[in-house]
Amino acid sequence: MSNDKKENILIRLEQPGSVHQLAIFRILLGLEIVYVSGSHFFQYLLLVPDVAYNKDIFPGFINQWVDTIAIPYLRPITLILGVLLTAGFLTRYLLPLLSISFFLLFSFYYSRHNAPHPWLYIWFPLLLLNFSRCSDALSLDKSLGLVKPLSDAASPVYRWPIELIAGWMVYIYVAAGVSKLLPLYNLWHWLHGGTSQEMLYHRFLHSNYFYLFNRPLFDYTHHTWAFAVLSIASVCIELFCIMILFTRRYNLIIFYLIMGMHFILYLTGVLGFMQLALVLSVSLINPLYFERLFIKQDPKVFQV
Amino acid sequence: MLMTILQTRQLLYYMHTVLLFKVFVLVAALVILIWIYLFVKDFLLHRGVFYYVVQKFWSSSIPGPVKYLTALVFAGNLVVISLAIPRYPFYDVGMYRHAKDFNYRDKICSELKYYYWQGNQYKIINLRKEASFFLAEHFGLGYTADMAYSMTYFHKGDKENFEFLTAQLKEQGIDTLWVGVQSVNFNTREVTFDPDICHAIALNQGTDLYYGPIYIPKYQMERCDE
Repeated sequence: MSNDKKENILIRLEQPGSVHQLAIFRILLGLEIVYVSGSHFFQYLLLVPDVAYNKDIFPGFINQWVDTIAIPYLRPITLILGVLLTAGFLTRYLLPLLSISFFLLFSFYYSRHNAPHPWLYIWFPLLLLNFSRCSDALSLDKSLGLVKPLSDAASPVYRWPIELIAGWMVYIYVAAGVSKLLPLYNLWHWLHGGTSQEMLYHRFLHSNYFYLFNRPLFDYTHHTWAFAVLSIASVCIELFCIMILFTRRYNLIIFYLIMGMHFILYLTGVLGFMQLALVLSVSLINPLYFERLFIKQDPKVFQV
Repeated sequence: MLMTILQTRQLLYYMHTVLLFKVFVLVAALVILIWIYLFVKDFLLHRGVFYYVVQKFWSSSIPGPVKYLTALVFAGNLVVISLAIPRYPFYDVGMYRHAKDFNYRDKICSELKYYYWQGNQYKIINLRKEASFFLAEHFGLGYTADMAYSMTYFHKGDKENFEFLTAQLKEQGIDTLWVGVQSVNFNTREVTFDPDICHAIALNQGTDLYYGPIYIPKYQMERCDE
């Protein structure tokens, strides 16, 4: 076990996985897609002026086409396919369709919405599921005999998608940390805490902390050091996520740190990222725990 | 160093005007060139971290298309992170990239919010509260956090935003929204709400409003003028 914890992500790609871990990730990702594609936000975006001016990699004619079909077709299609993904029905056939509809629908979303986008971080895990055996357990496909699961529930075939998702999680947090520090001459501004202080000061009356407790925790116009600590801590937590690539030793600590960071953000009114982190954090869990949970079997068989 | 150079808009301007930055760029260029030389040399000699990663990843048993897809996504994201220019679906995760100093020292911070009358009591619409499943009072699951964010900040000055909000609330029997002023005094840590519609109009004309003025309906303007 201790050797396993020390191994880097490239070695872990080949190690035993868990059919149930991958299936649970599929279910949570499906629920996330259902939740976001069920939002009234898409209709709202059609009504309000387009002030985002965000760009994508698609040529103009595709964007125009997407703008036309996004709301009447892509949104309900994505919603239905998300439900089917959660249920694990005809997964092999629906995943390519869902990936395309999700890509195009969120191209429309991104081009119209200039704010933090938690849903932009789903597409790569969704693409990965296309190549994985994610419906081998906890699915209608399995119940109806539409797929034949591997005899070995701990096959490495179930491990590599989970490890690549862990790598994706590293990208999200490390890139967030790097973007706060670069260009290098911005470093001081961020570490000084001005951004955090301004956000908490101006957004207090729109924050969950206010909705819950009705008064500020302290005088936000003072105590600059507290905001500097928050800013430095957030960058440290985000950059610390890179350890996931090298070892699984700190996964639990990383999970708690990320959840703590998102909980503070939740109180300040930045929602959405916590649920994304929860979904992606499935990849941080040792596959062994899932097999212990679902199959009463000697855990030794799952060790390398 | 490379990312700092790549992310500096008007690079030539700063090189000509700030001596320290010019020195930084020259030193950085030298370091980057040496690093590239060592990097390529190590790779050609089949040693070093990059060679290990490429060789290990490419020889792994994961499906071939996934290898190419992962390499493409890695390269795409690396480019947008380096340039700090997102291109969907590649993203630099730079939502708080633009760090700033905190210049507001006013102990009282005010926000304009919509409210309605329920009998003799005013009821404030806390738009961001509605995005929280456990706290929402008016809207259901379809009202997501990104939507609340847009309605509260980005589009708060748009008539369309107000019309969308009133249409949603009309379904619940709420037909007339007013704009009032909610304030927090950070000194006393007390929060107050002033439903005075004229006070809200006066405050909305100020220049120091977070994300600009809110949309105030015409009937409120007319009522205030009476």
